[in-house]
Amino acid sequence: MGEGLELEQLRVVVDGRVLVEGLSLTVDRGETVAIVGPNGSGKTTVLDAVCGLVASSGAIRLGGEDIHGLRPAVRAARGLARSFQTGAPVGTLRVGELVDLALPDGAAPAWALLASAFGRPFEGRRPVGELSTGQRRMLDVALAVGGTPVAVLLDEPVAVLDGRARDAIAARLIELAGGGTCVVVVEHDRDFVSRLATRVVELAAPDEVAA
Amino acid sequence: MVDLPLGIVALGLVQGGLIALGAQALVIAHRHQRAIDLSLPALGAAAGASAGILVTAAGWPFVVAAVCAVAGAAVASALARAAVAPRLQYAPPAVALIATAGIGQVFAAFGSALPFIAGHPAPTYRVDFGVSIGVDRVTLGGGQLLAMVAPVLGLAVFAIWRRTRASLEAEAQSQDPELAATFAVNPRRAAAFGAAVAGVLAATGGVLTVPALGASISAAPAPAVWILFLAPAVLARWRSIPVATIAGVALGVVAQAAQWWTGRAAAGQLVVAAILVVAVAVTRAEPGRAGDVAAASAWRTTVDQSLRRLRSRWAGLVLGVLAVAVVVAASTASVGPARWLGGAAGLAAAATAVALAWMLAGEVFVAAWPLAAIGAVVTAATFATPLGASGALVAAVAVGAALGALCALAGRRGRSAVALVGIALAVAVEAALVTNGAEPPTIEPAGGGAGGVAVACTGVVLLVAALVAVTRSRWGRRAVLVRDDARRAATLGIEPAATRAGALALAGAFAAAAGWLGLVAQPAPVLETFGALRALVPVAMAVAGGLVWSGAGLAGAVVLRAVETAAPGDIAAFGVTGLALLVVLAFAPRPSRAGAVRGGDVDGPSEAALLAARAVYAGHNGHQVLDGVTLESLPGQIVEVRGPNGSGKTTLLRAVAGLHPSTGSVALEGRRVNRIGASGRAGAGIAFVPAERPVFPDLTVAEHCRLARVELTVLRAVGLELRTSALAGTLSGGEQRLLALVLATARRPRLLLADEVFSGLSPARAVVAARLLTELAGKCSAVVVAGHGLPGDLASAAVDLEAPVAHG
Repeated sequence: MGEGLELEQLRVVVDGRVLVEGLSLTVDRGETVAIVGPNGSGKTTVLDAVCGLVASSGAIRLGGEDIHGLRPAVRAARGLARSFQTGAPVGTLRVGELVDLALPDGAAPAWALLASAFGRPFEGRRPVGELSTGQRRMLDVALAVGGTPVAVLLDEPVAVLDGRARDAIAARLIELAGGGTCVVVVEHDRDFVSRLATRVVELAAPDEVAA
Repeated sequence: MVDLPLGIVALGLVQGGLIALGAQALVIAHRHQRAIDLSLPALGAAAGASAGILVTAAGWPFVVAAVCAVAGAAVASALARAAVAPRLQYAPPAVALIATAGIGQVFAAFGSALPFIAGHPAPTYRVDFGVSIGVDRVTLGGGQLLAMVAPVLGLAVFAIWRRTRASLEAEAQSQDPELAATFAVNPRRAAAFGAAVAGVLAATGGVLTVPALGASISAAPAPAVWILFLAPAVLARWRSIPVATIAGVALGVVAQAAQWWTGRAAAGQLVVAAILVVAVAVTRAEPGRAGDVAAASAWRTTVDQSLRRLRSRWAGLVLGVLAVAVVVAASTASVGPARWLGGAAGLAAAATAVALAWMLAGEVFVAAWPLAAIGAVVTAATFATPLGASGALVAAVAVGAALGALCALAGRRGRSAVALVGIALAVAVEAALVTNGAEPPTIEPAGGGAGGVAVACTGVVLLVAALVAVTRSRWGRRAVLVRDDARRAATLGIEPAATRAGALALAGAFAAAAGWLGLVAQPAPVLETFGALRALVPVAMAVAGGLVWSGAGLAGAVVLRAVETAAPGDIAAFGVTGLALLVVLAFAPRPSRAGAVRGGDVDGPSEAALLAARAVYAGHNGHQVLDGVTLESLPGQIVEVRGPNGSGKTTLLRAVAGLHPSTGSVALEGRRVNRIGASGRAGAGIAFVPAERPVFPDLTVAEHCRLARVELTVLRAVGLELRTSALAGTLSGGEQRLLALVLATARRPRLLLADEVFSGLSPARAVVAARLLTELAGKCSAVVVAGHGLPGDLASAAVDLEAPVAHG
């Protein structure tokens, strides 16, 4: 399938520290790429740069279209989805309200994913702030993969989740990739990575430690 | 510039020295509280009044009186801070700001009352120490020279202070109170020391102000005074003491020059207000940190829930309504129901704007009152024209919405910027209308007083209905998501900047409509209504009314209008903010008190176990999470806590660490620790590594070692020995976790509780983490680990938690 997500010479500098240096990566539609590397090698920063949450130089193309200069919300509207290490936002919103906001075009896949991850229907009336760490992470992943994005970026999706939830996420990701979504996963869990990834990209250890 | 006399510059330097001291105090307080402390200017004024009374009425020598006043202020500041710190430590900075304004009103009330108590001493006095220097046509006495050099004293105090352990503890405490507790930092002590140092500087400035500037002993500090201190502190980004000092001195010169050039006090006020707005505008935008967002949201959730619980207590509600009805009946008897209602309607409408800004943008909308004043001015200007009453309303609302959206622009410049711009706006309105002695905005009474009051009351009801509709709408929920986590909202396709601007524009429109309603209800208001101090009243009302529900403004307005009619004048202003403070404190969630124990029937702990946690029950807001769990650990044992997501692994560890309320018995080496708080348990040898935010983002790696009282050499085990000067917030997630783990193990705790230490660690780092845990267990400590990714052979025992029970 055609072009999915393309990064060309991506470079991120924050407060004078080079966090990502000249990363080029092409993820074809339907492909699942795992980004691995030691702590501090800039994996999360790459995802932040693709979403537009940190300033970067280089080119970022989604579906053949340059999205580098666009604001984060516009990139999301073009079909870029993302989950965070911190999980779903803590706050006064209820689970149902958050899912409804995140997936206005239909949230059935997200509810189905949550139900299969926890083995029972997930309560929509609970405030997100009351969920446990694992439940919040699972909810955040469900928000990212509940639609049919062009590309989805997941930051350590299964690190705090148990086996049943991991299986549910893996099944949904295979389903999405089959439909032509580019999947990028940052994850340390080798089993999960080897189960899903068609390709593994390794980032080098940070070299500014020596400086 | 050329013809500015040297004498004016010299006077500017005197005033600048005093401003610099105030700004230094604000910056130090902010470093330790992460909030603007509006009580400090009032504290300084109260100290100045005390010293003045001792000198002029009791005849004490100035130096003795000054030292006593400064010492007294330091103690008062420390006590006040220690009293409120545990209540407010998780509150968003904006709420803490309101609370400090309330404390300030208590100090101000004390300062204003002193001259009456002492029987009206001399209004001011001079101190020369026998020194006098002539500059141009101005003669400077010793007191004025002292004021000029005083900022250097402030710099010295700060230089000494920041080297102390107490200052490090205060910084840690301000960044993450819970984490600080696990480092055995006592929250009250840390807050009190920081407040005392800030209090010394503020009081020194206050004590010198009376003799150096010829200020009146009884002058209560108004927003016009705060603003002088705020601008340099903003320019210093609330961190750099030298920048605050230089900016403060410069501001003094500019303020004196502006007043000299124009010959009007209002011009000086306007210039200073403009400088504050410019200072906010040139500040580099500050990205919100994930930790801040999480802490503030958690606070809001808890306040929301405690209020909901409160409203379900019908008996309390009925009593409250009865009490309010009695006060209202008493106060309407003196002014008449129509005037009473008219006044309440304007206040309630403005408070509705505050409630809206809080619920949808998380901002303290001090600008509500000045925008209402501007709305009244626009109404007065357009009412008599062919546009008529409805045209005037449209014009006022348009102006208010535009100014509200401009406030949102300021909000991108970091914490509390919207509140600061609101204060500047309030001072500017006061300068233009009150100080300048302008005609108050008036309209021809349309259809008589009673008709106007009816229109105003209907308007307020419509505003509240609109507020309810907006907060329940899809757009309102989007605004709440932006408020809680702007980054996440952006990645879900919601524009954070536009949403926030929309929310504040709406709040501005509400505020301007309040001005229109107020004028319709009371066609000829008195000029003092537009004073800057009044700007806090709608904010206080919304806080007193409960902030997170739509009727907040209405409820607050009824109570506070009653207070106001019962006790007019300054006392009302003090009472209003003081009351708001009390309400905030009453609703603010207290940190977990692990001591609230019931159920003493549990068996005593077995002698051999190092940790014995028996029948632990804990829950979140009525959902039972732990149901009689038992966790025991022998010396040298590594226990794994297992269970599916949501089964309460984190809650169990937090309950043992004293961070989550629980019942049941927790004993360490046979000694029950149930009644000891988190910092006490840390001191007794329980270390805790949390799963989220395990380090202080704004402390360096080396400062973490100092706080934990361990040598820098321990960092070698985790490969961080070359990063000692890096801020921990700049480390990657895995590095932060390892840093937290090595600090915890190097302290040689008797018991280590580690939550999710292995998740997010690369395989090489996971080996390091496992080695640290094994080494600690080898030294006869107990280790309890929860979470996923544990190496298979690490744990020697396990506790299984059950899957959560479905509720509702």
